[in-house]
Amino acid sequence: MNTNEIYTRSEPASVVGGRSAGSGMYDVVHEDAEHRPYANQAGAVACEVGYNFAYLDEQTKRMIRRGLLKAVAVPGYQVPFGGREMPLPYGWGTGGMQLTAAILGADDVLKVIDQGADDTTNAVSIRRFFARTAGVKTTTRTPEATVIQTRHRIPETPLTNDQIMVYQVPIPEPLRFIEPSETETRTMHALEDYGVMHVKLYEDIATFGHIATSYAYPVTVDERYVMDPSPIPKFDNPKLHMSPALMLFGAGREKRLYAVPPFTRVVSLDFDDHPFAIQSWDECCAFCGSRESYLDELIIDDAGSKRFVCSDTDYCMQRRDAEEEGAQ
Amino acid sequence: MSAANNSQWLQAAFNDPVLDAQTSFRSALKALAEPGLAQPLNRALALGNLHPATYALCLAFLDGDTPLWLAPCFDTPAIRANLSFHCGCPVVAEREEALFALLDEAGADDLSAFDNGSERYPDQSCTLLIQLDTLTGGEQLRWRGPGIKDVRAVELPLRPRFWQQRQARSAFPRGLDAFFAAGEQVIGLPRSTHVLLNAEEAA
Amino acid sequence: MYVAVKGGERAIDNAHLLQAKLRRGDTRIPELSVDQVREQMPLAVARVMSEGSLYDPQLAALAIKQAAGDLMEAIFLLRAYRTTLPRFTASTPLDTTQMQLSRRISATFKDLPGGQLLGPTFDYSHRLLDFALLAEGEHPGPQVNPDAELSDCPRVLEFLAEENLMAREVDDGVAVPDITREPLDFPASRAQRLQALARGDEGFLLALGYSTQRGYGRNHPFAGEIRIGELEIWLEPEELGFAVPLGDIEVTECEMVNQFVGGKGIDAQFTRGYGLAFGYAERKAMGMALVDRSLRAAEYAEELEGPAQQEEFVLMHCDNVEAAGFVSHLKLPHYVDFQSELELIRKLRKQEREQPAAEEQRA
Repeated sequence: MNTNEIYTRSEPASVVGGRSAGSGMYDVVHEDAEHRPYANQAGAVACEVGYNFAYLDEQTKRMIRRGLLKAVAVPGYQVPFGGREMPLPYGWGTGGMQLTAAILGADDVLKVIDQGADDTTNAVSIRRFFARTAGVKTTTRTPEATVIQTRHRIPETPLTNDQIMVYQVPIPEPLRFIEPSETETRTMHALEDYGVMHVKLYEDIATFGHIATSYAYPVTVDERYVMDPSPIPKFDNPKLHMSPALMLFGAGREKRLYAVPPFTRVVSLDFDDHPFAIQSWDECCAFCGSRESYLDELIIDDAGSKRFVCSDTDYCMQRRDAEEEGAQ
Repeated sequence: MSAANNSQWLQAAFNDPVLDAQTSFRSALKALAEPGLAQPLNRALALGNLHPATYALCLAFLDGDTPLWLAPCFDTPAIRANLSFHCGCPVVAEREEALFALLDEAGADDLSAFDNGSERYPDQSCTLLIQLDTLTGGEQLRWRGPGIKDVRAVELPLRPRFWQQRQARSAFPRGLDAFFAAGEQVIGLPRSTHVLLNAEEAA
Repeated sequence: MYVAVKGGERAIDNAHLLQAKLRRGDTRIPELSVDQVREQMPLAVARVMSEGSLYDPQLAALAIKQAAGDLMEAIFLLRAYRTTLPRFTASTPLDTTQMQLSRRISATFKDLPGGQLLGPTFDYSHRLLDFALLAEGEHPGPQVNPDAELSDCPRVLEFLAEENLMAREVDDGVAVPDITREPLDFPASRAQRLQALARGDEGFLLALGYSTQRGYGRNHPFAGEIRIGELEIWLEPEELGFAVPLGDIEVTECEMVNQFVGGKGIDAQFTRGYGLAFGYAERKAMGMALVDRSLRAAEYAEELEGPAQQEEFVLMHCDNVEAAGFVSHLKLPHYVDFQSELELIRKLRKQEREQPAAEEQRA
């Protein structure tokens, strides 16, 4: 037994001091066997007192990490994982957060965006969470970030090979709205039977003259799996194709994760007579004048007048800064 | 088998169990995401005949939920004692039950019976941790697939038998994923990588 | 003009302060203590412990206080705490025949060994607001017979099993999966189903159970036995080799007797639905037992005719932390996706207007 004093066990307790006070003796009853007879006290670099580095315990991180390896090995396939409850509600990015927590290291620089912006409330909340629990450096600058957690956008600034994108995913199954049963959709993926998806898109064309999917637009990854790219606008779909960055997708409530490795073929579904096309605007950004970026529409007066501005706030800011510098 | 009886074999694991595990995992992730590119893996010391990179992979991946199959040369009291103590992973005798397999070059010649997943759950497959003396110097083969921009020349010192075995166990999405470790480096080979053998190249 | 949705950090801080004020209410009224919640709202505490999957009355009471009485929020708080706890071991299976009963009723037999024990219940109270509670005071306390002794209370359904009228549930020795560690897969095992239902929302299970009574997958239930009481928890650490008691928890157990299966050369037998919840939680345990039985439809080759029999539908939607999260996420900004919908609908309308015109020109 005294080996425990000599050797530190590999796994730090996720609960280090100060947590069990006030909780009764029953805490352990419904917890399951980890088959680790010795408790351990290894000191983790915990920034929030009492919580492990990046919040999740090491056992959970390992489980997610093993899932991520399989996700990378089978691009576009949804790996079931034992998603944990996070201290944020399901639907608010718990899947993305668990992935970020599992990959994040002390040297990482984290950027969090929601709707393309760094300062939307949910992005602020998640960025704060990791600043508190992992003590990592955060940034709003896309090129400075090593890990970018996002909801609904891919940055306009091209990504690099040293970056990892983490997407928050509400419904990971692209076939779900056509076939609600998981048993059925899993069979469809196994058999590479995606006929229903093409039928659905074609029905759109018959009804509206267009494919009526404008976000969460399904893609085929490396000519095998049909994948939901998360609710990014289809404007962002081409950025997935042969991207130098690793793309990780996490759905917390649905307990699925999947991945697109760097330099992987990602093709949006379409038809020869109705080729895939991205959104375009007649207007340019009212701040930076960009005609290449995805625009948010603002209603600016009671008469319903509109202005359009970049959804990617960092991209917009950099363009304005560059312009100012040029002017000086 | 109590820990006390095995204490004579015990060695230190990661210096910093949290951050070293994270760093090692990220190297492994990058290795698998960019097949054929060697990544550094230097957060552990050697353990018996396990190189630092191999031991680091074990410490980063294994725990009570991961049955491990050991090639005979790695089935030593020291390796068993340390993996049991630091990881808590069960060592299994049947290949079919293993989620991870620790192999040497000779072991890599026989991939039979390792679980290569199912059509419905291709993720439920065994991951091979293969230790080699070095990651270069073998016949140069061309790798293609996700994670490789065009084509990548890799010269792992493996016998043709490994490639035949890998081919035999592959029916995408089913297949075996492998990490090759030597010294303080690792190379990943996911099932999604197409390896052009020289015969194919000529064809 | 662009700041309406920005400046999130300060807004979040202030929202927390406003919420704290809302929770505390009028500060001239003394603050509610966690002990008061624990002792005086035991049924709320029970629900939060059950659906929060953590037996800890003190923390459940804290969660209720912190959540300003919003039980789903309290359940969520407890779940989020639970997920960070280390897992030491699993207890040995609970033996509910060993319960120190505070209540035990059977609707299937008028009398039986151990007898009917009414215990505390709202069942026969007239639902009249008790204005006496407006004033504070001590309750008179129940009449106690100090010599009373509780005799053995064997399980009601066991008598049916003895006669072979009810199939026994046997331990198949298969390792019990843990749905909080491995995601559900379908078809789910009964162990997975019962775990999901035990964490499931009381209201959802109640409504589904009710729907079976009204004919959407009817299964003819009788409340075979409901028992509530304290139960000892035992652990058997590997290095000890024998079990040691850890303490008592209160649970509610319900076993439903449902209509039979058999025929065609097989003796008819009743079937069983099972419910278990932490604390005094009768409605939850009954709803769970009804739905458990419904979900055994495939096992008994019954036709699936109601939502309560559809395993994926029930298990994927019974968790209120998941459901509340996903519904509430609609409050998050979605303007990027909405913008793409706007762009699309305008394009469709424009095309609709231009196309007929173009066709007319051609004609």
